[in-house]
Amino acid sequence: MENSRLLGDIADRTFDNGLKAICLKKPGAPVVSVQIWYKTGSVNEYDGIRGISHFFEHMMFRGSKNVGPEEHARRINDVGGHYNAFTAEDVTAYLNAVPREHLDMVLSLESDRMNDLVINEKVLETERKVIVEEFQTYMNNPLTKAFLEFRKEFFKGHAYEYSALGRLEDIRSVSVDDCMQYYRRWYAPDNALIVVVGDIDDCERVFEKIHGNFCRFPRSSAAFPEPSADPPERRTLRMRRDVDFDVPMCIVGYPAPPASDKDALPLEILQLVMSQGESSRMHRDIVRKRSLAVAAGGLNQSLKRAGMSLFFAVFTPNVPQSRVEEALVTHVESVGTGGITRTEMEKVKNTVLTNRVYELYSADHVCQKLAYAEAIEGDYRHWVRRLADLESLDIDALTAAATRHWNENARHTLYLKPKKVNPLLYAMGIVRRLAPKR
Amino acid sequence: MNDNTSYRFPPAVRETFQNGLELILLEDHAREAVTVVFQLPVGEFSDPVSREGTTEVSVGMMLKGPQSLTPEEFSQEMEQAGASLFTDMGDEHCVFGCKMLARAADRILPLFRDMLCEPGFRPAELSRIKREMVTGLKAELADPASIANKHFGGVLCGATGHPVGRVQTVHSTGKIGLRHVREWYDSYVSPRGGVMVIAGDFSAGRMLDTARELFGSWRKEPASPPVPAGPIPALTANRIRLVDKKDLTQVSFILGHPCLSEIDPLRNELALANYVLGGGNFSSRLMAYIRSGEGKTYGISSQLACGREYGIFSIATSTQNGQAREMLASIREVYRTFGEKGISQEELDKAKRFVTGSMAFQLEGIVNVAEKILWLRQFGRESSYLERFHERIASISLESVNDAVSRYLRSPAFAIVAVGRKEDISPILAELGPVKTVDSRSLL
Repeated sequence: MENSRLLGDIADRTFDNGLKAICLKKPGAPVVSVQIWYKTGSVNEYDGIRGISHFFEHMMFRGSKNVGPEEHARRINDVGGHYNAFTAEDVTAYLNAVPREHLDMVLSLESDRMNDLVINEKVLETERKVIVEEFQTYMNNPLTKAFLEFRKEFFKGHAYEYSALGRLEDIRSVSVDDCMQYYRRWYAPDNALIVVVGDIDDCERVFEKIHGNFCRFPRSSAAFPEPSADPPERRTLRMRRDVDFDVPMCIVGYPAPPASDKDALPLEILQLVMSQGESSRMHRDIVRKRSLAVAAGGLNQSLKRAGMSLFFAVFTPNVPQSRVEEALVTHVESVGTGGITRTEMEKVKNTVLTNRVYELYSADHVCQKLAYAEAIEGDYRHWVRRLADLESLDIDALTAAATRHWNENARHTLYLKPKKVNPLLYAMGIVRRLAPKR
Repeated sequence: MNDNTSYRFPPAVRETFQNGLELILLEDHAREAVTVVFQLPVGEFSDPVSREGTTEVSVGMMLKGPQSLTPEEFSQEMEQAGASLFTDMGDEHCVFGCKMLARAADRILPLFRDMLCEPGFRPAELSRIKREMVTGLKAELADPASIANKHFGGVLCGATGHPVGRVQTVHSTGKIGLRHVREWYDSYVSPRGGVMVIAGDFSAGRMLDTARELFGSWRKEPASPPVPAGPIPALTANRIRLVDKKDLTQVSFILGHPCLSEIDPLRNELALANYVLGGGNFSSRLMAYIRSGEGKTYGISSQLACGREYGIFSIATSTQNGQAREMLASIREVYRTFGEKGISQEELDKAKRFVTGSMAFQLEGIVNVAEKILWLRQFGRESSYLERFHERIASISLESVNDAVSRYLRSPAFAIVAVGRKEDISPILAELGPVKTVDSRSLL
């Protein structure tokens, strides 16, 4: 199954009740990956229920009409499979993978909790404690805590302002009624996507099974309100956090367009040029040539309604933060005018192709990529066509995108400053910098 | 594979070159990719005392490329073709690998060969790598679970001198010089004792010629083959360390004791038992009782970490400071009951189904197959070990599992590491024995 044949091998179906299914027969290991993505997440929350999407993700494992608490997980384990779930801004996803002969079991389990979840007070209270523990685990990591604060400011006033982690006070007050309301509103077939990838007989047969399991459920009785999501206000932000962490770090971020925007792919390509690998621009200059940082990198977080382009450098206490920030900013904000070379473009193409070839080894990976492209970018074909789209991109389009999005008027900076710096290490750093390079 | 009841490895071409290198070729045309992995039977246990980190630094130096190219030229050549290097370092093994497009193999494999056989070892790279590692060591302090892990080996081994008890620090990293890197390379990196798997989209006959040309002429004998680390002495009393970190609202725990080795005849029995106790996520007793039943934690699990001649059993979790006492009591109660009563036939049947069913995922794609072959070779096992794995698991009786539980999971004492706020946690730990309190930066 090479990429060129991939699109022809994928089948999709939208059932009468609005449930969309995507299926790919992937011969090889006798396994099948089944994912259900509900198109709801923290973006659909409001004050008083911040964090309910994630809370609800936990409750989905706590039993339904025909499945006892945690029995979903145990049944998957009992056949050697694995499961997981995550909640993000736009989606809540449930991931299952089992030996192929257990596909029916997974569909039946997912079907039961799509329509017949059972939530009782006692279980809710126990799970609330678990979620508070999870929240505290994040907050006990100074890096995570600082980044979440930065992210909140970054999206201030936007539907993404609160992450899926929510607010502790809201988590402490979520009730059974809140959960059931949320469930009835968002967990409906016409707000869900099911993707099946693996060593199946054929997609038609899989669609029949999906129909048998899910199509007795009616469409949602109400429309799904679209949250207000005007682009984040273009402004600058500087934030400093003194953290109990010995490594200074500088993060520079810029608002990025939604994942379906025409600029999303150019920004993805440019991000690779800037920060991917030891031959990337930032590594070569900031880490190797000027020794300003120990590591430099970046990533684009592409979401349905907006995104973030992030660049970071980890450095030593003896290097002034301003020099590191300036180096990062100069690289990012000059690419729009300086452009990239054909060699860099060729490298990116080869990197993307290699990543794709290796992704195709795993049913889980392919399943997740298809689901993401459909739920977030609006069409699973975007992922399949990514390589062809890349071939047709011209370098001018890339630089124009950079100019539009990566500029000083939209720059957000986070500086993580260690609370304590060992003066001896600081002195050693100065000596090292003054010493001649070998 | 026959419906998950057995596994048959794909046909392999095997050859052992005169220089001792064992080569395994797996021809697989499912994807236009080639993966090469080279495993040596040496890992972080080979670090000299007080220069912990030597293996990691040396491997890092090798990844900067061969003598014939500058590090910049090397990374450019690799990345321009879309290729990427990877390593896997354990206590007793290390792996060098490279993923590449099949069409780039003719260009990339010779570079991989040069990196392995003629590393550049440039002085400027050493200071850069050490700086990266020191930063990494400091960065670990952000994560309480990582801090607990770092201290656990030392508490478990006490003054025995077992290598599990040694850790890389800023100080030990600072003492590593270019001479030590070269010594490590000369001592351990050699075709003799190494196993190389090349897997992917090629003709095996042609690839064999290529591999012979590239690696058959590699002439280098290891100066000193690694000596396996022996068993860790059993604990006779609780050994407790509190790592004081004032800003934490949660405490992270690791509790454990020495256990059996990977090649112990009861290894599979204990793996099945561990699945029931804490290795099976929501199917495990620890998770069912402490998370699902009591809501005291986000996660709790137990692990078996086994080397050739040693093994460690441990339980890791975290909870809010105010619940630490109950958490410890719950863990100890679950462990005690488990050790005394063992598991039921129903639990054993489920564990067997998990262990055999999950094998299909571990062997998904030729890259996983290659890595599994290396894992087998690490412990001197042949492919038939996995080909008869299901049969082997099916034949395990409840009595033999509970015998393993009785022998290995009834330790009278634990090594305990807690990372948390001293004022909250110290009195709780003191109920279990003498507590040594250290600062969170003490192992920097």
